[in-house]
Amino acid sequence: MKNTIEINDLVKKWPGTGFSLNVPRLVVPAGKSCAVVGPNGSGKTTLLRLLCSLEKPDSGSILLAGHNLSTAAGRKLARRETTFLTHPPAMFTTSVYRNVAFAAVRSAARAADGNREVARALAAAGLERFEKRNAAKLSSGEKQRVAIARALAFRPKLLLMDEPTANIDRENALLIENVLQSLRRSNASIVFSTLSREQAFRLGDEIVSLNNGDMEIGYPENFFTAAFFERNGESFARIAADIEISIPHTHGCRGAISINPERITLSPLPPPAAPRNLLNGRITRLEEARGCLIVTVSAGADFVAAVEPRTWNTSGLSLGATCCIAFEPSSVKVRTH
Amino acid sequence: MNPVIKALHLIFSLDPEVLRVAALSLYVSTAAAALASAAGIPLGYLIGISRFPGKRTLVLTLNSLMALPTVLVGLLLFFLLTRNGPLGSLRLLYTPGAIVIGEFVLILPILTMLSVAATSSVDRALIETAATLNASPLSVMKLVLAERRFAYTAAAVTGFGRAVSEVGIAIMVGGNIAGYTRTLTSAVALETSRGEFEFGIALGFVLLAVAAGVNLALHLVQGAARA
Repeated sequence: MKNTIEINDLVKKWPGTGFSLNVPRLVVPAGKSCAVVGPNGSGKTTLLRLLCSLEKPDSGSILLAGHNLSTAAGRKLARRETTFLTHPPAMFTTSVYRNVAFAAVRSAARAADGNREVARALAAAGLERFEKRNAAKLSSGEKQRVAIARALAFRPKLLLMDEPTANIDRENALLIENVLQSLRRSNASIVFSTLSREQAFRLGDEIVSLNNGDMEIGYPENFFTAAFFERNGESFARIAADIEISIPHTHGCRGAISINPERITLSPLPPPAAPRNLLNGRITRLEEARGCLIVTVSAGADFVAAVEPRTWNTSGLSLGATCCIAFEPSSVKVRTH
Repeated sequence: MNPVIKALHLIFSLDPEVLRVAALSLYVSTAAAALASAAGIPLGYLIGISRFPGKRTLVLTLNSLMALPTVLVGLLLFFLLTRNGPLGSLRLLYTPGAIVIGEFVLILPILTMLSVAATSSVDRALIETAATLNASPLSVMKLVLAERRFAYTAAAVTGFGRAVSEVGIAIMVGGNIAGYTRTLTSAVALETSRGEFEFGIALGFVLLAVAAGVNLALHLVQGAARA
């Protein structure tokens, strides 16, 4: 199966600002979702705009289903099969129905019965009774749902969303997340940006972390800025005054580290074969996502571990319990400034 | 009789000359506004939505042309349309058509610039959303025109207001010929210079009523936009 998106050595510069987006390599397989996380101004929106040809890269390539977006054929394909939900969502000043119909009639996979297609999209977004309402006068959560319905009616192969649940109430956010989950089950690929690492973990098959335009090679759940130093020939990262992490050998004084949450082990007592990194903390949060438990442990800083339910059930751990966090330096990705 | 009362009598007795002059004024101004809208709104849309080298200079030039003196337009058009001029063979000088052309030239920059402003004020995200929903350039244009329809209507009404109130073009290329090219403004100027104050005041009242009507229309359009 072809990859929906394949990025190689992508660079986009903003003259006069010194900002540039650098994505050395990113692949989003067909039918998968990719979460782009990072603080405001890190380049998340720019990446999404590049993926739908609203911006042109300065160098590098973006392939959409094997077609380069720098070619006319690639851009045509992007227009036919990609749609982008801006943040905040842009509404046409007309009825909700017409907003959704606008997308339905321009869909490359246009259904024979346009009215039914619009009705289906409205129902999926919980907007059955909103048909005649002026879309521009809805609340931000309702507008976001209209934008989702519009995207559903368009039936894209690639759906791009800029912070789809930002600034909306929990009820609307949940509804939108459910729609996205059902979209994932169809064969559409989704790339979305979010400020919420939990949401990224819940909805993303792949997670890309951006920091000041640079793609982080790691896991956003356990991302820490760090000062590096050496002791007895070993490299360490200091992420807080009293937290030192043993890391793979590195050069440089400052940078960032991230720890793979799936390779963190939690146990009530220190494991017999003591790993190089061992911290004590207390479990502060439990959440289910992607078939495993996301456990947040406070140990001077918040560490997130992804634990198999079966492992969790036999671990003897519970919310509020103290526990040991263990991981090897090989589980730590390092980036120097 | 008091000149004002005599003027009101001329209006309310539906004096044929007053009616003829008012009708011609409305005809030429409406024609000029319609033609300038047909050209200026799409032109303003294209300038507003596009990014191209020299756009800033073009916008500055159009902004300057918004203050084009009517006598200058009249003078240039006179040289073009006069019997020995480049367009003399068209025999348009001293016809209502010449006034329409002059007023069209006068208000085209106004309509274009107001349309540029209306287009530029559309949320860019809206245009981009339409573009990423596979909308053609024509569909995007229709969408923007519908989104800012009140602003474009206001531009057309403003153009009409400028056309109906100008005097320089009407006199210079219209010739102020009674019953043929005499408009409200040129007639007021002529009658006042001849000492026919009553007739001048009566036409002035009609002009004022037209101006008030234009303002009311603009107000209603803006009100509808706010609603």
